[in-house]
Amino acid sequence: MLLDASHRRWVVGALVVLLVATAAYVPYARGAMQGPSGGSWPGLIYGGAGFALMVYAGLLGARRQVPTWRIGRATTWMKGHLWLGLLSYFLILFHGGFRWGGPLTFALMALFTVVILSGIYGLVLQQILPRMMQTQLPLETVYEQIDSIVAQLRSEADTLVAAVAGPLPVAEPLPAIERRGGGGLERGQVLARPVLRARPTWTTAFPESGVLREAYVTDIRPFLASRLPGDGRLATPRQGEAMFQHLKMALPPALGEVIDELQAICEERRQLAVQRRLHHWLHGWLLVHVPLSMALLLLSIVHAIVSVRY
Amino acid sequence: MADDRYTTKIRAKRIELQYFKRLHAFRRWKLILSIAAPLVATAWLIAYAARGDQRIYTSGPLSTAHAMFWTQCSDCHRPPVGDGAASSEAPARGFFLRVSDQACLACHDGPIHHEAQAFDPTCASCHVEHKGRVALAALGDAQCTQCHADLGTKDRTPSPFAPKIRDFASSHPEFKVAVRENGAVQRVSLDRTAELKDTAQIKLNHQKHLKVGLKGLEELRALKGRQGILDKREGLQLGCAFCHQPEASRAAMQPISYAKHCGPACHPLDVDARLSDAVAPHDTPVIVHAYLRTLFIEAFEQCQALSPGPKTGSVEADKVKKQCQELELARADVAEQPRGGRSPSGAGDEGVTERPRGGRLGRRGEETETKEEPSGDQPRGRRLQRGGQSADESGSDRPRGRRGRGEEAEARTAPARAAGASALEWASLQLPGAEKIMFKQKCEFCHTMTYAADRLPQVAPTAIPSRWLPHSVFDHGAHRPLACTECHKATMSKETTDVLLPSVAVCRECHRERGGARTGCVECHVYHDKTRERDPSGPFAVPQLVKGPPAAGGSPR
Repeated sequence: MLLDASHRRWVVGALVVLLVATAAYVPYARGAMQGPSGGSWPGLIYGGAGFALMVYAGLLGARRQVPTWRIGRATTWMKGHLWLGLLSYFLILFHGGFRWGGPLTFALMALFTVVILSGIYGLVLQQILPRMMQTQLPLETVYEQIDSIVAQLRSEADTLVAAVAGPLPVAEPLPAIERRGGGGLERGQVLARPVLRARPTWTTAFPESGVLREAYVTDIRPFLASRLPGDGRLATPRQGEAMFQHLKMALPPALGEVIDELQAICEERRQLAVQRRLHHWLHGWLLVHVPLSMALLLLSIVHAIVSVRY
Repeated sequence: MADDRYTTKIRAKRIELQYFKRLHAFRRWKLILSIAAPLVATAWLIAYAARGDQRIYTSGPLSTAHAMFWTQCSDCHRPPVGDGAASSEAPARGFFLRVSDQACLACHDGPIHHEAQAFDPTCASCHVEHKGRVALAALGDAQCTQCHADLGTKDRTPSPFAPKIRDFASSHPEFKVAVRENGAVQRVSLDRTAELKDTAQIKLNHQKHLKVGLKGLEELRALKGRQGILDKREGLQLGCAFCHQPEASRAAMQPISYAKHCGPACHPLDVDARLSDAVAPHDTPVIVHAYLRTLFIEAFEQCQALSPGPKTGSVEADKVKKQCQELELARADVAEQPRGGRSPSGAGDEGVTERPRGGRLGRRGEETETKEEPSGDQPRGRRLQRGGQSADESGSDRPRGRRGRGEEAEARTAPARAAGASALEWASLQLPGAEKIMFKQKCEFCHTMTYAADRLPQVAPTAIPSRWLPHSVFDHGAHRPLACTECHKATMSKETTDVLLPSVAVCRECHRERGGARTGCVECHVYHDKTRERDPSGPFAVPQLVKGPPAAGGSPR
């Protein structure tokens, strides 16, 4: 979520609460005979308030499971998740008097710290990576569909090269089963877009097509696999550019359009690879943030019950 | 590289319409981990619960003294039962399990701080556990000042103690020492100099004792070692620690002992110049009287039993003969024996060893035991004090064995003019003079004596206070880096009545808020009266502490 002017009220509100909490904490901590303690009345108030905010922040996940419920906009929930979740950390620090206590409370504070830090980390990434993707990845697509689209790109390239260089020694592309967006594909249709129609000037008997065929099978098609090879002549954009320039020089000008199309397919594949990597950066922290939040909430409930009892 | 041939519509066609219905690997892992993490946390709790170990719920480490109790919350967190008496039969009730005083009193006593205190706090309100390996008695000043900042009493009568003490640095009153006056002990502030006096019945000039180059220190050092004797450029000096040695607790000083600190090395109790080796015991006048009487009887009998004849050549025998001559007890035949003669009986050299009862009398220079005095306040006689150690020189400025000429003459007068009289009669003649010398010159040199006709004099109890500040404790050991005279101005004290306790201002020179030594109340004061603690037999068995209490009952009792 981008931090913009719409967050101002949340920021101000959280800061005001934090200042009030701090202003109350200082005299409490200085006046407490044995130092601040989670079991004192001020400590319990801080703990209760902090725990309530933690629960609220944790409910964001539940809110997302039922997007149709009319319980506030998702963005509002997200803002609350950000700022109230952050505020809860300070309240919990006040609750414990900045001590991490025994094993359970230590585990709680360790989890809470990791959750907060991972959340801040994710928030920072969200300020940077989406913009980067917007400018550098014009062909960005749905992350979950990257593998599917890569397969489509490979089929398109196979068809294209086979049209000018004859049948390729590769397996036939499988037809898509699922219906697709934009009206979807016809049954048995492999390509979503007939990028190039066969032109009359094309023949499959270009004597130089062997060069294209070899380059495609050796370098281009592996680059269109679902897992990118670590090496190869298309490993970097500069290398890819050089290779396609070389092909253009080696092949008749009539095949220039085919080369351009192959280069466009490879570029899309490269962008999808970058998108996948950036997506992992952008969302990978959630693999830490969310599970630990679940554990944190569970242990917090146990801690609350046990502490109130004893 | 995107171009207009690759339209949004074409791109949209690539997307599977139902893709979101299937979990992608990323979302799948997020779900799996979101379930696994709470499960792991639950397993952690269950694993501890299965072992009956509740330590994970502690809010912090227990204090060192209670470290064994931290596997079972219920050791301390249990509801009070019965009418204040612990009972294992009474069931635990209610959800909340705060620590009750009863749990503490199972092992401790918490004697009340003061009978008149305005309120009685619970144990746990002051001694807060789960704060780590700390001493539970090391409380903050706030615990004390919650009452002492505005001291009230239960019955709202004015407290005899300083009513407003907020801290040591600014509002602690001047120390009040316990002064015994006419049998009653009253506390006098150190700044009330007119009323302030040490009422101990002992005569001591600290300044004189601390004089550099004090006579006899060389011999004292040779006799007792270097401990407590300072070797300064100008000469030797008696150190404070020669006499004042801390107790094992280091809170107070051991009582001054004549045997250890005063004599016989410095202030010997010589009886009579004629009985050069006889040293009276440091004991009550009755014992001294009995000693002198026995001494003279034995001397008489010794002289009577002395074999006649010339000098034997034995130093000891010759010494006895000379002593008898000085006492005018020498038999004529003994006295007239030519030098080098031998006794007719043939006893000769054995004349001395055959003395009838002389072995009971201590002689200086002989190897004798030294009785350790039980206390410096009041000597107690059980048997005759053997004279003891061979101190040839006294550290005292009064010469050893010195006596007035008249007294000396009087002691000599009684005579063996009464030769022929019985030992008892002769001793009775000797005693008054010898006792006068002993009591007037020796005892009264340090002690206060009272005399009455027809009875032995009385020694006033020394009554040296062992505790000047009974409401506080002091660790002399912790203050070892300081010279004693930095706090106790003994070098300027000439009178016994001088109170040498330092004032609060002296303490504040070091014990100050910033950059100084600690100023907490508990540095000097103790809340509970430790002398009223219970006996040390507690209610727990080792397996209970190691493995936790049995499942049923809950109470360790």
